[in-house]
Amino acid sequence: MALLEISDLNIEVVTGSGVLHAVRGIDLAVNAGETLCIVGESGCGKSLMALSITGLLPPVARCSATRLAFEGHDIQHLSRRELEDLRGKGIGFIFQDPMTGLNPTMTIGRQLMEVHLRHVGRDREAAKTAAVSFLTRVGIANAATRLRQYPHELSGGLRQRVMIAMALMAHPRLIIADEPTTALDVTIQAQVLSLLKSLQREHGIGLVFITHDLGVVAAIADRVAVMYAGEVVETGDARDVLADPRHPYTRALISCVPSTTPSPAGVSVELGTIPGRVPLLHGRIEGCAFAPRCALVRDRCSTETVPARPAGAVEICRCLFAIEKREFFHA
Amino acid sequence: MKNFLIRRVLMALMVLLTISFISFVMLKVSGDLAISLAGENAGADYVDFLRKTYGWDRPLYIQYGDWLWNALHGNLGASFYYGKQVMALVAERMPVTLKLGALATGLAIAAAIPMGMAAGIRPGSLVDRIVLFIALLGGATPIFWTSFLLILVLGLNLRWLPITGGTDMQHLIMPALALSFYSMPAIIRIVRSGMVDVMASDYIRTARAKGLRGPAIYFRHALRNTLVPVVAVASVQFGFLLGGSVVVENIFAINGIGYLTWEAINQNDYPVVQASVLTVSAAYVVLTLFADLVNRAIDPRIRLE
Ligand SMILES: Nc1ncnc2c1ncn2[C@@H]1O[C@H](COP(=O)(O)OP(=O)(O)OP(=O)(O)O)[C@@H](O)[C@H]1O
Ligand code: SF4
Ligand SMILES: [Mg+2]
Repeated sequence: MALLEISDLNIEVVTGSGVLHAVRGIDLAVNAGETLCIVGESGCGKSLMALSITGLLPPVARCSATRLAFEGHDIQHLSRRELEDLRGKGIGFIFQDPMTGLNPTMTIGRQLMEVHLRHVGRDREAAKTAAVSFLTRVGIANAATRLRQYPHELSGGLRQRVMIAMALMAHPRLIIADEPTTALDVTIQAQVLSLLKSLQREHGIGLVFITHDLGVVAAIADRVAVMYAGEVVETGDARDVLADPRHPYTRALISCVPSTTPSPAGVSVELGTIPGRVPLLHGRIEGCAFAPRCALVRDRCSTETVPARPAGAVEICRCLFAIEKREFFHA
Repeated sequence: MKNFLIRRVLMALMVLLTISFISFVMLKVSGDLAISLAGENAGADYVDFLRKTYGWDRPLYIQYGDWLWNALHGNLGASFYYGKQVMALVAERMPVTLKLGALATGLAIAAAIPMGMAAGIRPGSLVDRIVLFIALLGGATPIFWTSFLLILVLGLNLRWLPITGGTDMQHLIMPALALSFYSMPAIIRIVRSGMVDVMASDYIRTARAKGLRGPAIYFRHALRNTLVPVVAVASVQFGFLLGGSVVVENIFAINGIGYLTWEAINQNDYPVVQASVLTVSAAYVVLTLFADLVNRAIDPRIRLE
C-alpha cells in the first residue's frame, strides 16, 4: 500500500472569467521513504494539487477525486476535525516563501512549540525541548536564543530552516514541500536540499517535492512526475525519465537545459522556455494539451483522446506516439 | 527607543505650538472681542477701555507672544465669565470627559473586534452582511438620536439607568453607549478588512497546514495582525470624542470639557476656548504617542523604525 494514493484528481478554480480546470485527472502515488518530484511550468497546477491533499485549497477552488488516500484511508471522507488532526501530524507542509509563511507577530519559538502542543503533548517544557532539538537538527546554531526571535530577525535561509523544522515537529509520515528552495540563494539551496534529503532518509518520510528545477530533481528524486496544463504527462523512475524521457514535453524541458547529464545537487537548472502558449484551461481540451507546442504533432493528436500508458522504462506517458521511440530520433 | 521618545515629544510640542497659534489667530479674526464683551448697548469709550485693559489694541504677534509667555509659565489667564483661572476650570472638567471618552472607546472596541472578526473570517456570509449593516447604522445614526433612544428605553421605560445629573459610572453609561455606537463602525470596518487580508495570507495557510483549529488560528494568529490599524483608528476616535462630545454632554448634562467649550464659545470666553482647544489637542497628541507605543508592542517589526 502506498503512503499516498491519488487517482483521478480534478480541481476547478472559479474565477471572474469562468471556471478554470486547473488540474485534470491526475493519478499519483508516493511510498514511504520515497521522494517524488513534481516538475512543470508555472501555472500547471502543482501547488493546487499539493494543497488539495490536505484540504488547504483556497475558497475559490474545489476538488474531486475517485481516491485521495493517505495510509489507506480516503481523506475525502474525513471530518473537518479528523482532517485538522492529520495536518501537521500525518502530513507536514513546507511552503515556498519563507518570508511570508511565518507569522510576523509571533516568536519562532511559539510557532514551533504550538505544533508540539497541538499534536504531541500538552507539556510546554517538552515542547520547548523539542523545538530546540528540531532547530538544531536543521542546522541552526544556538537554537535556544533563536526561539525568542521574530521571523524578521532571521535571514531567508534560516526562516526556511525554521519552516522545515516546523513541518517535522509532529513527526509526519509525509512531507509536501512546495518549491521550498526557490526563494533561497544557490549555496543555501544546496544546504537545505541535502538537509531535507537526510532527514527524510533518517525518518523514512515520504516526500513530495515540487520544483521548477531539473537540477534538484536529479539530485533528490526517486521518482518524478512531469505536469503539463493540469495533467501528469509522464511519470517514472527519476533516472529513467531524465535519461530517456518519452514525452515530447519532457524532452523539450530537458533539452532546454544546457547539459543533459544530471547536474550536481543544488546547482540551479531552471526549466527553459518552450515556444508557444500553454492552452487556456477554461473549456474541455480536445486531444493532446501539448499539441499546439509539440514538435512532433500529427493530425491525430488534436482529435484523439490520449491514453496514459507505459512506454519503455517510463511508467506512464501521455503521448500517442510514445511507444514508437524511433519517431523521436527521426523527428 | 529613547530617540524615538525624544523625537515624538519634540514633534508634539511643535504640533501644540502650531495649534495654539492657529486657534489664537482664528479667535481674533472671528470678531472684535471688546465689542462683544462690552455688550450691545455699551458706549465706544467702554469698548476702548476693555481693549486697553486686555491689551487687544496691540499688534497680533505681540498679543500672541504675550499669551505664549504666560502659557509657558502655566498661566492661561482667567475666564471672563467664571472669573476663575482657566487652568482650574479645565482641570475640573477634563476628567469626566476623559472617563467618558475612555469608556466609549473601550465599549466600541469591545463590540467592534468580535463583530469585525466574525465578518472578516467569512466575507459575504450572512454574519458579514449583518455586521456591515450594523456598521452602516452606527455611522448613519446621529448621536442625539441614539441618545434619545437610550434615554427613552433604558432611562424612562426600563428605569435601569439615571438620565442626567451626575458624573459617576452609572451616569456615564448611557452617554458612553451613545458615543460608542457612533465610533464603532470605523473600528468594525478596519477589523473586518484586516481580517479578510490576514486570513488570505501565507502564514495563516501555514497555521492551517500545522493542523491548528479555528480559535487558535483566529485569535492567536490572525487577530494580533489586524490590531495595528485598529489601535491607530481607535486612538483617533478617542481624541475625536474628547473634542466632539459636546452634543452628548449637553444632552446628558455632563459638565465635561465639551460642555465647557460650548458655553465658552457662546459667551466669547476666549481664554477658556483657547485653553480647551489646547487641552484637547494635547490629549490627542498624547493618545497618538500612546497608540504608537501600543503598536510597537503588538508588532515587533515596528520596533525597528
Ligand atoms: N486563488 C486562485 N485564484 C484564481 N486562480 C488560481 C488561484 N490559485 C491558482 N489559480 C490558477 O490555477 C492554475 C494553477 O495554479 P498553481 O498555483 O497550482 O500553479 P503552479 O504549478 O503551482 O505554478 P507555480 O510554479 O507558478 O507555483 C493557474 O492557472 C492559476 O492561475
Ligand atoms: S500526443 Fe501528439 S501532440 Fe501530444 S505530445 Fe504526443 S506527439 Fe505531441
Ligand atoms: Mg506553485
